[in-house]
Amino acid sequence: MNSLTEEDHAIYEWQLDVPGFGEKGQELLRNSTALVSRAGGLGGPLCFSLAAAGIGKLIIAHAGDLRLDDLNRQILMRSDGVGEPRVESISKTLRAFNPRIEVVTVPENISEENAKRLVSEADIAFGAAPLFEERLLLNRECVAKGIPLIDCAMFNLEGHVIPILPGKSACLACLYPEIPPHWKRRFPVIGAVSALAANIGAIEGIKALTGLGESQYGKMIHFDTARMNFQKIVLQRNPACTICSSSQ
Amino acid sequence: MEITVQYTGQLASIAGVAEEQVAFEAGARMRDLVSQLCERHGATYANLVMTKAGDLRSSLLVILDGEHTLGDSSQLPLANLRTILLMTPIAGG
Repeated sequence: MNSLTEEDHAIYEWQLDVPGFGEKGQELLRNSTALVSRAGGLGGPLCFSLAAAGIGKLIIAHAGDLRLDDLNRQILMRSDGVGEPRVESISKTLRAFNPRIEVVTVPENISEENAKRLVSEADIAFGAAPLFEERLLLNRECVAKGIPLIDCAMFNLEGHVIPILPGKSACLACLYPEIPPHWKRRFPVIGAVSALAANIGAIEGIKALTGLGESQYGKMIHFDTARMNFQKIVLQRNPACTICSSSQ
Repeated sequence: MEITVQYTGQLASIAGVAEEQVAFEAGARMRDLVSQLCERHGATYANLVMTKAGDLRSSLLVILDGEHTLGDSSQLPLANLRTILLMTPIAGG
């Protein structure tokens, strides 16, 4: 395990003071690799927070070229990158922000072709894709590899985060045994709501990697910013789940 | 008798409320309540919560008095329940 340098101490000293985190937590984080499925309105601020905290390596899968209508929420993007691959903006922003972490961008979304390979390189994964097909694929591969998945989602003024520990807590397929037929690719979104879901997901990921606090595996953390209601819902594992029922 | 029905996601948008009080008759079951709500809120709502065969959709999360329930809850009696939360799946990112 790589230990902390003098520069690390200088940069992270305020979070080294967090009880239960300290140098051990920082070292664990520095030696961890996170896979983030899409770095848009939700995955973008999630990557930002992981980068700020000093994660060792980020693998970011996100296809397509930047569009004007991405800019209300996708805070890793740059106005001068419209029309160019999103991963270019993502790389530039994160490298300028924290050049001490490794950033690997993949100009593809999670698919049957790449999911297993990308998950095999990670210690933890974060689901932030706008399609259930991608989320359920990521879930399947995380269950197969036995690594934590932090599924983060939003719609309108609400959002939720579901931390998943394969074999121990409900997986995404326990909840959604089939692709929900009514979900539409375009959804109403204000960036601050995405970022709220992202940062709840980021802290759950940091907790999962470092042992800080109490991980909320097996629960859905749901919030509704219209009324500022927050609640936690205990989720049941499906004993007949085709993805995780054989995992103990 | 009355029960509180709460919504999230697309259901909240379609129903136009996050929560409503719904009256039901003694002996009513979950399926009766959902049918009543489908009638009240229309076809788009109905399509989100029920299949064409009249079963609750497997992707609809049903939370009864704070407890997530798995499987077909359509025959559950309402008498001892106070709150039902219906959550449609969301994947905005």
